[in-house]
Amino acid sequence: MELKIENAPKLERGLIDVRLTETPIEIEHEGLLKPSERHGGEAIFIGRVRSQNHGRKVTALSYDSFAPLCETVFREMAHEAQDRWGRDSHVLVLHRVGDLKIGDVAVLIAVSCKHRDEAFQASRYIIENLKERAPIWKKEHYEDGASEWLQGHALCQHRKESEANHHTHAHVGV
Amino acid sequence: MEVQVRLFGAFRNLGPQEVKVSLETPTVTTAEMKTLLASHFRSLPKSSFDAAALVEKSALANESAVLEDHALVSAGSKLALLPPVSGG
Repeated sequence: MELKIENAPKLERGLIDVRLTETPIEIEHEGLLKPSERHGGEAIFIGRVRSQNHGRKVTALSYDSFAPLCETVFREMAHEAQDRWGRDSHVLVLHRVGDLKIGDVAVLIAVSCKHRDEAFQASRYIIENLKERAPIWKKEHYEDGASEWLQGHALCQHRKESEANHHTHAHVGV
Repeated sequence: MEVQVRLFGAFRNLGPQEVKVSLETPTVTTAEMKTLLASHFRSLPKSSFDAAALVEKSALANESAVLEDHALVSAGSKLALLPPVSGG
């Protein structure tokens, strides 16, 4: 659903930084993209490893990923967010892989836009789509020494033709 | 000729990081490739992890895109078998 404005000059795309990282994400050291002077709103979403899931005590997490495709998917999501909420928005998507402790930052998303509403919507769009589309897998480790790969969202093979808003089938997930 | 398939997520329960599947024809569709993978997993010693059942819910991809069911896979290709995802 793009809003087309005839004859409007096309803004240059804002900055995009998407990465998977094996080293802990330290918010203060991540060098968030410096917002442009036109940006009045910046939304930062941080996802952390929590100690409970479905009533089981989680002691640690491991993330596996298919890196080349994952970074392509991150970039596609960033472009979609820019096309929808401001082409000149800056988008940072950072996801940790490897072994994580409780409280560690698993994902960091930062979007700066003209106004706060666009920034909130774009960052929400990116985290929701990341959960459905990014080739990343989570393995939980439990108190009793057991560990389990979580069930997730089956990857959709026809997104480019159908786009998220035009789905005629349900995605079964957990 | 073989297709090399890298394994991710729960498929790592199987141990090896990849499997090699032999093709009897120069190309197969992605859907046929998934059937070949499921039969390969069924031929492995039984374990509590049902890899063949997970193939049905999984996608095949190359490094730049998830492949559609009718896309053709040629011998010599390198693919990735992606179970349902759980990032974030």
